[in-house]
Amino acid sequence: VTQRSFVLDLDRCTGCGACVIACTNENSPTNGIAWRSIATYNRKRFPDAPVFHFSLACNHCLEPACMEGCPAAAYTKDPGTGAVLIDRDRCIGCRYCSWVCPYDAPRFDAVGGVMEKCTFCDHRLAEGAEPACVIACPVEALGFEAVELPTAVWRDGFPDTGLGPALKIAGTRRHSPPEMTSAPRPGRLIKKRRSLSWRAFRNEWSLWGFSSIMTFLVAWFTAATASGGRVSMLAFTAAGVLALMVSALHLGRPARSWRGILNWRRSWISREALFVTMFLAAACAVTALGGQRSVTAWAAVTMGFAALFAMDMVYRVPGTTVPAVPHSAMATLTAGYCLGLLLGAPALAVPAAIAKLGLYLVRRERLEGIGGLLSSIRVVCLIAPSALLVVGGWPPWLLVGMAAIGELIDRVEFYAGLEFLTPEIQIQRDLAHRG
Amino acid sequence: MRVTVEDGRLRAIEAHPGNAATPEGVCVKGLSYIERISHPERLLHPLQRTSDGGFERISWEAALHRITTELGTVRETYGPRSVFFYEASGTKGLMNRLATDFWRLFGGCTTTYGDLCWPAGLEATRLTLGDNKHNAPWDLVNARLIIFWGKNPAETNIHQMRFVEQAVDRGARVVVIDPRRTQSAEGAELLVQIRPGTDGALALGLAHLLIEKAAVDRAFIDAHVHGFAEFAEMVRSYPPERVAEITDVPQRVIERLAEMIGAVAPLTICAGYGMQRYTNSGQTIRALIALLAITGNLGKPGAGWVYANLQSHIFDAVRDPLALYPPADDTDPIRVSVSTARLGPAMLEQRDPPLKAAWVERGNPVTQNPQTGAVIEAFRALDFRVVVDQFLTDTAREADIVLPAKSIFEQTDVINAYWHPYIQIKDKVIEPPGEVRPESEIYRDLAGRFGVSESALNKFFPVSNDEGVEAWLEAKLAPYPGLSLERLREGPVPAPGTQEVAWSDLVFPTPSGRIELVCDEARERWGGDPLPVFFDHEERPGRGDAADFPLQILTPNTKNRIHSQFGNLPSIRALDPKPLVQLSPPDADARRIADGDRVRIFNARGSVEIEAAIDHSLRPGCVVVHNGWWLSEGGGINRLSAARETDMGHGAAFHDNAVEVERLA
Repeated sequence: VTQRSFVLDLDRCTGCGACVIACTNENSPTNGIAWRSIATYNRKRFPDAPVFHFSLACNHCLEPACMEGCPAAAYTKDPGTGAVLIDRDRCIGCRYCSWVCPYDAPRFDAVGGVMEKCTFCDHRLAEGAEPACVIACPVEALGFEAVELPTAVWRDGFPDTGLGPALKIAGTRRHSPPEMTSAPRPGRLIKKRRSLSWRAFRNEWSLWGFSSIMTFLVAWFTAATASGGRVSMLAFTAAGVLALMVSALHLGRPARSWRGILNWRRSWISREALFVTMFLAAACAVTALGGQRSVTAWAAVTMGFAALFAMDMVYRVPGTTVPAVPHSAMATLTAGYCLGLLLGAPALAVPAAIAKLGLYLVRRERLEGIGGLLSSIRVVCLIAPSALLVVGGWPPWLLVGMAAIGELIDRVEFYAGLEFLTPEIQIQRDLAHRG
Repeated sequence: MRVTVEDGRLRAIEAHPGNAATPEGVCVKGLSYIERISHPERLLHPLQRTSDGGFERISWEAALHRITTELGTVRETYGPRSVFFYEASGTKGLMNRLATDFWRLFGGCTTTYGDLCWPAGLEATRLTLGDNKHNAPWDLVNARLIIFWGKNPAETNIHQMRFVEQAVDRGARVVVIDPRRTQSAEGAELLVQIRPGTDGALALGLAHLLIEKAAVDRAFIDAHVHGFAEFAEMVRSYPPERVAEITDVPQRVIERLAEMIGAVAPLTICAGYGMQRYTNSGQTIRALIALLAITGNLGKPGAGWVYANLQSHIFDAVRDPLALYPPADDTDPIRVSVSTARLGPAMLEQRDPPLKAAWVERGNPVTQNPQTGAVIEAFRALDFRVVVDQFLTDTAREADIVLPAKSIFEQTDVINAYWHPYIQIKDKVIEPPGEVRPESEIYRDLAGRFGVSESALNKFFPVSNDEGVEAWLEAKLAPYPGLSLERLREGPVPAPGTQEVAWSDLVFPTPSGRIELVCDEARERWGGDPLPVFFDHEERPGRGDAADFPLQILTPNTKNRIHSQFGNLPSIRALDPKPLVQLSPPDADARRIADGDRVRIFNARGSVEIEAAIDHSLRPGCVVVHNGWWLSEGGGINRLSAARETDMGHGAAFHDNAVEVERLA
């Protein structure tokens, strides 16, 4: 496929930022949000690596992950220019596109509560002009030309998850640093292990609340259905409503939540939203009408697990190495574990606990910050309920309560360890690899 | 550049393709003008200091009345020379000349000599070659060896990088000599991380090897070089072993570089201004130029000395650097007696009369002149201060009256350049915002208030409207046949008589008519050696008076500002969020400083608290802070620099500056 594309010459780009300011001048004169930015390889100037710059905006990919993942179907790809565009009036502000885009192209407008991004300057293209950033480059590092996509791209520091970015990287001289006379010191300071980021958790606490409540509700309802018991209508409905409200808090435009199911054909978020809604509706109906043993109840159980599966799939984003799926805090596994405890079924609870423990220990190897007091509590709350279940004689609600503490901690650490691929992160990974 | 205006507001800024030096794009500062001219903090009306140290809005009438009264009283009591006029390079153009006319009509004043930027190099070049000019910017593509000696064009001359890359595409080799691993060094094959202030010794060592290996251009020397024999004799005492010791550049690197210079031609040396901000740097620059003279690398395409191209400075009666020096006698009513490099102490030293009032325009001396503490002391010692600026800078904050200044888009003017050879028009494209009035109107109004007759006003000042300004400019252009506002509106015009390849006529306007390696004026004017000898600069880290300050601080310019301008704009802040001090890993480790720590940089003159950033390729023993951050932004790095002149040219020896750094608890 031939598409007009950005051309970036790594030899010529000095990282000056003229393209960034030209973009802001052209496209966002009032809110000042930059759609283009500079990712510098080896910003700290380690002596054994070169320094070069990626001036990046949206690469208007052949297969845009943003468009694929957007639950609200707010993205389109213009067949003429190839421009990937977002419609502000359709965006619900869930920010999922910024998770799945490895180029960090979609930017959140906190005032409008929606995402915005590089438009390829389609208004300029329509007039026969090139994008403002290309025009502004004082050193001819940034160009614009028809390129056969996908193109072979520069590897070092550049995220490539197979989306067919419309970016041709030129320049071949930046493979090694200049010879320097100040003796380079051996030893690199780039950490190979990542650490937990509590800021990442604070940004996503609503997702933590939503996913934790939903996981428990599915386990609870399933246990009731399987054991012939029943769930309290009031408590279940209240928790369900709470979960939906908390999830809406995550959105920049909660009033548009309904749009979140529109892209069910392609987006796991849409599927999650759809199944969550269907599960809660069916389960509430069953609880209200008292048909806990009915086919409807089993249908609700199926939708509940489908919702949790979709929830897990949402986090399966290419380039997200830690945490990955499978993961010790993944919703389906947690629901299975809780279900085993609620049903008093060691055959279900014990394997789930062992799987969780194994996955948790693997993760600990890769992330700093796991291993403190919280982690110890988390591990105790994983082992103890299963052990007590095997011993027998303990009330299920006590075991589940204990397990819940551990699971909430694990889910916190899951969000605190969440890192989606961006150019900066790709650079850090590749630099660490180089050392 | 070309600007697009929509509804009276700047909408876009693009490069003007008619300027062959900068046809592709405008730098970040130029692009940020869209923000700058409508920035919410831009001064739009006169301000007056209040008793509690703040500022209040006043009318033009009240401001000019107060200025007339205060300056009139000072003039009556102490004489006109008790008024200090300080101008810098904030906005350039022919209109700026009105200031001098005003002060002459006022009866005189006291003003500065010298320059903060580049005069040591200008003077060294003038003494050696006779004038300051170089090949057209685009000629660099013809070079086969390019040495960036203390220059980082990727930050300070972005448009030159385009020609560098074109030259490299055509096979040119690039060497950078700099203690820092700059962006420009990324494209170089070799980065020579020299001990700061020893560049002259390296040049003499290279000359030693070139002469020893007979890798010099004898025919060129015989025809065009004065004093080669003495020079050759002098550099015999700079063998590579000794030079390696002085410069801390490995001997093998010196030898390799000499071999390259001897073998690869044409060679262009692009020299930076930071390297000539030492007390030995006039002689340093002369030694550098000598390398080109003895290898015949002058007057040819792709060869030469790229330092300052003043070929477009056709409007000056006396060309820089001579125009920067105090006159031989003291007959003019304008007393030129304050060294700008020593601004603070020099202002306080003035007698008969002492300084009592100041007028500052197009400059921010509190931030930018050496030894901030002394500069503030000197300004505070005055009775009355007026500052004209677009923003409330550190200097404006010291003022009694602040007048709002125009931007470059708000009055037509004609400008020249110091790198490319063009004369260009800076057309008025928008009305001044708020109550902003151009300086020409302020001066005309004030002169009238001081009793200057209408006919004298009309003789010196343009009538205060667009037609008046254009008529005034046309009169200035009239002596030059190819120049008129109409012609300039068509595009940039190369200055009449410009040489694309400087010195291609091999005419050197020196006393001997040759390139002077022996220069008597160096001794007569500056008391220096006629040969470009090397000597240690004054304030060396860890030695003598600087025994307690083992680190050399470099305060280079950044691409993100022009000196202290532009740093307050959001788009620039996004690129350059806060002042930082860069430290090498061993220096940081020795002080237990980690990346991101708050540290204190200090010496006997002052201290600055700032955040540390580890630069893993910085030469140990050096620390780096970009100049230009305001005191009010947590910067003010000139609290540390010394009020001290360079050995030539009355420049400021900013980099003769030793400091210590400590981690803040």
